[in-house]
Amino acid sequence: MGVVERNNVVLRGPVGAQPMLFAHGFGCDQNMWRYVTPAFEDEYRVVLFDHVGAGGSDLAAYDRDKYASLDGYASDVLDICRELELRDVVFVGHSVSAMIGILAAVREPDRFGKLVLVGPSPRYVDEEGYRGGFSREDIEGLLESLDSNYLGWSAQLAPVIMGRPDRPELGEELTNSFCRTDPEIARHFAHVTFTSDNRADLARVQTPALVLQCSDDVIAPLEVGTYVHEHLADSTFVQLQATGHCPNLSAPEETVAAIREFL
Amino acid sequence: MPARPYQDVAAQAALLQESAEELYENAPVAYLSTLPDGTIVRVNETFLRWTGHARDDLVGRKRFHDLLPPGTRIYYETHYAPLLQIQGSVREIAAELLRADGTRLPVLLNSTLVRDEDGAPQIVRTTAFDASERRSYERELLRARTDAESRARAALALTHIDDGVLLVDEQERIQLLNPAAEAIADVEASRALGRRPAEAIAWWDAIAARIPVGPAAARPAPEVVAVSRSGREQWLSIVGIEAAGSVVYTLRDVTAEHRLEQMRADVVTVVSHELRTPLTGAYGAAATLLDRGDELRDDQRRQLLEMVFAQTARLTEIVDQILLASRLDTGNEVLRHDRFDATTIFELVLEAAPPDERPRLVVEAQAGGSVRADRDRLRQVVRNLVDNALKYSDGEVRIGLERRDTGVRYTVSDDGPGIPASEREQIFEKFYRLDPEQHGGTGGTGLGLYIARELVTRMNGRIGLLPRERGTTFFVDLPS
Repeated sequence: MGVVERNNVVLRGPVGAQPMLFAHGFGCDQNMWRYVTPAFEDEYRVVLFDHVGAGGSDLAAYDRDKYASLDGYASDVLDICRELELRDVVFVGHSVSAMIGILAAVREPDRFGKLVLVGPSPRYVDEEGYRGGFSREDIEGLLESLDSNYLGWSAQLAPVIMGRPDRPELGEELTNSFCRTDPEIARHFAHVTFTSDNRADLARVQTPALVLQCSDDVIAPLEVGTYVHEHLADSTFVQLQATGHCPNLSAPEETVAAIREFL
Repeated sequence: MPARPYQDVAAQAALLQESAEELYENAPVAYLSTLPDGTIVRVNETFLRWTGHARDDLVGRKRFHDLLPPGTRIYYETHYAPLLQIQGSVREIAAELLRADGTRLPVLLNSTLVRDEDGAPQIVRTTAFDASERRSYERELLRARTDAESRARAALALTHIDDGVLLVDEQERIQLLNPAAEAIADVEASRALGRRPAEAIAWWDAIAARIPVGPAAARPAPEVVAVSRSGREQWLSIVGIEAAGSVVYTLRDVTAEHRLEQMRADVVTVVSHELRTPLTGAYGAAATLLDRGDELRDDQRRQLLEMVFAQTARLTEIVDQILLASRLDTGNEVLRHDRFDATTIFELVLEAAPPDERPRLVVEAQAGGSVRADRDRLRQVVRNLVDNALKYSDGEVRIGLERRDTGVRYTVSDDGPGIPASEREQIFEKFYRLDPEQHGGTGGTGLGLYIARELVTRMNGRIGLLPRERGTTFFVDLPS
């Protein structure tokens, strides 16, 4: 299976225009860009994709070893760039994908023209001399939330409890039909995301970057955004009025405007 | 039964003072309305009662995610909020709400996003169902699943472990027997389960009293015991650990280790005895020559020198045997596979025999023919058999040769005391020696027949004993 099928790559906008590659964060899929991408489809070649394990990606391509660190996801981003022969890419990454973009840009700096980092955090867990906003117990709590929700989501408990809910027809009945993920994969992705530490990678980025910081974002608090801004060689910091962790959904106009301004 | 008129129902409702407001405030479900940024704008009485919060502390002051524990908060931000904004509603999200006293209320949340005419988000309506009981069931189910998984892993490990594991319950019945234990105890699980160990396992009674059994904390040391399995001796290391009224026995087949241990002891015996005898002889003769050589006659001196020579030759032979055995063990001995006249071996063997023993040797070659072997090594094998025969008997020793279907058979026979049937296999084992007291054994390194068998096997042949009433006949079959 090719990269395009593996990552459910969707292309919009004029062929040959500068590419904008949108990468979704943990918990959702490319649907989360639905209010943002239309604003760029006239001028840019918009490239959307799902991380392996999320949305319409090929679940069979999920390899626990490969995706045991964010590097595996960064490799996929570079695969997509190579497959589609993307150059001078504007990479827009939300949440954990901001770090995935940073890893990709460190590995192949020539591919990337600009990075837009929405709610980035290089380290979610608090450490001595660093405040990421979460303790290890909090991360355990998240994993528990995931577990109990995959229970709650399925109308029938038995298949989940006695084995994997690998009955696709069950998915069709779910009310919460967007941003579906395989529960085991979601758990692993959550673990990888929230235990990753990419602080050291920030200094290695040469690509100009925009840090989009939300107000009152519990996932990536203000001081984390500031930390990212300060440790990147060439970055612009914009604090949005939007609250929460997903300005692309809660305040698409403001998000689009900030990205336009930067570009 | 006639239908109750509608008017009656309405009247009753009125009687119960049911109103939309009353229903909102005291519904059996908690209601919560928030602005798109999560700011709480309205909650019902049920919500306050369930969570213990005061209305004034919430409305306009707190956001929805402030009521969530950190883990749920991450889930809310990464799953719940995006979903709500994408599809306008979410259903049955399992979450926990923080009560005023810090405890957690498990709930199921449903939310609807209300937009204005332009599609801009206005308000989020959320209902929360008390899911305390449901959550504890789900936890139990999850735990059951985790337990089942870990049990499956334990069973997998138990199936593939080399050590035998046997579980015997309070009623002295076997409840579990892994495949390694089946092999060691020589019994199928289906025949052993539910029975007493003594009934299921042939040798159990013989050793039961010697098995150390105790609680894990006492760390009982395994006992090594010999049991008889299909007529052969098997050495087992066995120990029992008491756990929850049952006893878990661990059985390990240590026959190979035991043999090795035995062999080590034998090496010490061989070295201390077999090397020491010729050494003492050579040393004594040399010392006498040094001390009193001048006083001795020429023929006496020569006798002593011959003794030194003979004993050092014997030493060399023993050391060579040990080295050859070691090369055979490590596979470093390379043999030739030449084709030559089988009878030529006799001349070589006769030449090498001590002059005073030669009259006892009788060659009975029935037919010639060619043999495919390493000539020097074959000579060594036949000579070793001849030497043994000369040593263990007084009469004549017959060396025979006959043609077989695909090769030739050498035989070496004597009319000595013979080899007991029980030891016919063991004599080919390394360092095995017949008991000198009982069977007229004469000592030696115990390597001769071991080396012979290893060499013959490597020459694609076979060595063994032919059954006889009296005396001994060794045969060596080799290809042509």
